[in-house]
Amino acid sequence: MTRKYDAIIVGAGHNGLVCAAYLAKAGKKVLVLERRHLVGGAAVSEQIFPGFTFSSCSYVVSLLRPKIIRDLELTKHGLHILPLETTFNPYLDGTYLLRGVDAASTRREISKFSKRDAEVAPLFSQAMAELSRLIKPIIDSPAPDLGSLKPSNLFELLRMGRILKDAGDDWVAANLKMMTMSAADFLSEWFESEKLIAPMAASGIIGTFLGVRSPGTAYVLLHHYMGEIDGSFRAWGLPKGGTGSISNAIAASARALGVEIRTEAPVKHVLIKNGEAKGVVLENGDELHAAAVVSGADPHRTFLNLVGEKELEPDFVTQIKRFRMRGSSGKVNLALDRLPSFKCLPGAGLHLQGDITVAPGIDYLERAYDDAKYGDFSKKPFMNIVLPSVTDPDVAPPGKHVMSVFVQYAPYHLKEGPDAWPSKREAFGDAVCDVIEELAPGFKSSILHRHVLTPWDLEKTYGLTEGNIFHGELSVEQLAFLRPAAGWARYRTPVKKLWMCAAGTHPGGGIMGTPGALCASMMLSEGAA
Amino acid sequence: MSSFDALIIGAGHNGLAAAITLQKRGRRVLVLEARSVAGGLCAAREFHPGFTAPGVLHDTFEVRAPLLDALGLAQHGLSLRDADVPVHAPTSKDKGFILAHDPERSQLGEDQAGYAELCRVADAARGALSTALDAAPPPMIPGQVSDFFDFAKLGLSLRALGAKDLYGFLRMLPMCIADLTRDHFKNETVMAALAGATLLDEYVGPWSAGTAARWLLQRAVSGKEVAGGPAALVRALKASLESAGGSVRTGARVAALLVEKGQVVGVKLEGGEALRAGLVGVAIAPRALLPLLPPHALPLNVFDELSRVRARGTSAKVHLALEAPIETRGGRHERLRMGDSLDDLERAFDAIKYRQLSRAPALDVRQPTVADLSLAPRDKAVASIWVNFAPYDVDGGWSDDRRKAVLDAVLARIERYDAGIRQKVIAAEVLDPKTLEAEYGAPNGNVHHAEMSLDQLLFMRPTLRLAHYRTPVEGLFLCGSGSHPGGGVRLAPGWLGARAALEGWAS
Repeated sequence: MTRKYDAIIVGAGHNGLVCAAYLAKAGKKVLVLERRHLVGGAAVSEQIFPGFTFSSCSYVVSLLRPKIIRDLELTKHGLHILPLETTFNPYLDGTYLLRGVDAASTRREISKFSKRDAEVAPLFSQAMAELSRLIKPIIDSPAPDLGSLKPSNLFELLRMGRILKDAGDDWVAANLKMMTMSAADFLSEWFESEKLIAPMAASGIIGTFLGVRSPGTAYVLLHHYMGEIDGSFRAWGLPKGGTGSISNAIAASARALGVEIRTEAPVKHVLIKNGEAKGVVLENGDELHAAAVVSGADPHRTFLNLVGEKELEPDFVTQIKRFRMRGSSGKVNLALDRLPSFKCLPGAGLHLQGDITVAPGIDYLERAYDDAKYGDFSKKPFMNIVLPSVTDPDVAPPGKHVMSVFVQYAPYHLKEGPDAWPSKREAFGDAVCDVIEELAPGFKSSILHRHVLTPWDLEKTYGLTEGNIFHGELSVEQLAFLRPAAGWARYRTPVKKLWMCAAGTHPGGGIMGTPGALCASMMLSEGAA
Repeated sequence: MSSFDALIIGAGHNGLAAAITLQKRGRRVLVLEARSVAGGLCAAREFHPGFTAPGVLHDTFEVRAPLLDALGLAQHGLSLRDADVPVHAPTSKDKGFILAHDPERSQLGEDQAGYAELCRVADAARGALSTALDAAPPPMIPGQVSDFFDFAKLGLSLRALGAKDLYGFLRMLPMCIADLTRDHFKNETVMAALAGATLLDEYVGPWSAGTAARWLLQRAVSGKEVAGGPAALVRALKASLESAGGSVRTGARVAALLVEKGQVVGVKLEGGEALRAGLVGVAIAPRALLPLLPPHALPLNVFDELSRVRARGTSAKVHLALEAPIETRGGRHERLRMGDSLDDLERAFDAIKYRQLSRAPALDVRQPTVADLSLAPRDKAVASIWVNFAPYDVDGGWSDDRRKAVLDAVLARIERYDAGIRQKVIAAEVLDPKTLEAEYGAPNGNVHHAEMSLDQLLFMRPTLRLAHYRTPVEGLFLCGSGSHPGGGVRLAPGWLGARAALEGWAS
């Protein structure tokens, strides 16, 4: 068979699509193969119930890099991000905190609990923005390899050293603290009111198998602060039409650049001859050949399933097996007859337009984590709720609403084993709804449909190993030059001409697009495709 | 008014090490100790008539042989034991395990090979780590050519590991000990025994990131122990200091530091006596410095950093006077770690997050009488036990009932491995974190003076601006466990602090 493609990309998740678009932009002939019937991977919009469109998995956007939006002209291809400005935190004692309406009201709101914290909050945001700027150049380029003495690599290290040197001791120290401290400890250095600390700390645990008191969670906090829309820091948004519209915009951009995308084309394995990737074999037996193969699947799936242990050195296999991918979160998608009315702030209002965080205390969050540590879902979980239909009415029938509830913790490894999830799925959904009912009485009676996604479902339906939404935990030993394996953090793999382009590589998960873009640029600079 | 060249506040092991270092360089030194005896947490403690614990801190495997020489301790009766003392991890079913520094001397059943491999990678970096722990902390960002040179040297010594081990080592650094041990071991008791080494007075459980580094750093400086334990070490330190001409004054609690024009000039004792000296070393907890200084003596940013140093006491100490030593199915051992599994340790940690006592605490036990019969009456025994965890700010406060609850939990744990323990107990004392604070000045009961978390190590210990021992007040320097390389019985903070002070403030 003659060679047809310059590159075949396995998986039409957002990173695979970004990678494909950049390669095509450089004139390469690219084919993207997707197992499911739609593109997007974990960034999809699905009409789970007639008339109700859900961002079934990933539900907000913050980290998508502005450069990618510009380079791929995503706005032209239909990307429209609606701002998600307010953050509403209801507490079990009947009080609430509503931030983000405007600076003056945020200040008033925080003063309800602590005048001092209200003064400190703007300074904190500035400090976080500064820290993000320090990290940004490191996030935006491939991870330098501390174990390599190549001149280009030493130069990279020197460049990063210079960034740190110019920043000065104080900023670097602050950064080191962020890398090593717990979110709760770090925030307690700034703030005194638990009503503020708890919901802020909660953003440090999203997608991790850690608690707010676990060292290392302060860093994740920063990761979430790095979100930017059109260059403005700390702005979250809801893509109009759901997160699937991001994937659709990237796919449209890719197609316009000549990329061929095939859905319902599951790949069985990567075709390897003499240690070199030659193409892929589909489930239906078809062989497709290409000069390079790029995997958009997670590291476990890529190496243990698509490549196979026999093609790899035992040491590398051990490293991949030790790459931790414990899923810890679930998702509850609800179709509602009416908006919820919170006991602490009844009726509709700005507080329902933004994100609603149920994180009423440090101990509450920590107990939620304790349940998960010993193999159970949180009886009283942490939740991040959005009601996209409030700002984007097209996603629900007139007068009705969709509610997306991100829930933590839901450990993949239940003490009875992951396969016990189907029998616990609804109990998990009940635990979620019970907490919301407590905060918003009458909520349960407004539910028209309920769709519960456990980590087990995320694995089975969306191909996320162990249900890990970031393709591998974002712990320090799994970042930068160690993501996903030492020596293989620059999108290359031990199999020649096989590349990785998804969240299992530097700089990691979230709808960022950076792994896909960096993979494409590495491939192009090395003439690989 | 008496006059000295240097005063050291606190006659713990680090204070004494600092004093000797200065005295040997010709300074006239007086060490001021608030308690009635020198030695601090290393001093012998007769907790029941005839029964003595050789120090509240009970391990000495972290003292470094070159330092013992530099401080002249061998001439003053100090001797090292032939080898490290292995740790016995008992189980309720069989003879349990032996965890020695040397994998060859360990008895770990099916985990023997896993431990050997783990130690191989850890020890490959031993040179680089122990270098970092024997010297003043490296600068965070290399600024001068000489710093670059030091960095390059460190880099090269790490490079010597070879790429594979280097990666293995770098990956270990930020990990939690639970993940690390699960990568290498199969048996939960073995995992718990190794993880148990990282818990003392930290606010972490085995699932907390950074605990692997704690083990690595501990292993890098581990060596032979001092014969006679910490008490023998401080006896030798005191003798060495006195033979060099220095002295220790007990019952002398410092009430204030005297500062004139940005320079320390002495101290005022409780009772009003003033002592003058151009150098003052602080071997007590770094934060305890703040109330001793006059207002505005430190720049605001230094003050701010110092007031944020985390030191939460999380461990209690129990001393048992026993009719006979604790004896498990594996026999009598000098060191034992008790905790059945990683989850068992983690549950013990969970309790303190909610200010509760651990129902089933993890224990780090030493039976000093196995090696030293002089510590108890004939045929009797002493057990020295660190209990993890018991929080300083326990819900409801510390009381006799709480201390009794700690003792009960400890005996219940030991009972799993030695059914007769309760009949052996002659007397017991419980030192809760509040008591450790009141008696030994350990801040919040934390015997390391500042938690040894990753953000409070190296050039961040105790804070960024105070990591090089000298404070912004000329003549005033840190020389206690709150400084690099930190807590445990190490001596290096005292020695390095004094050397930094000798370099002067001009630069």
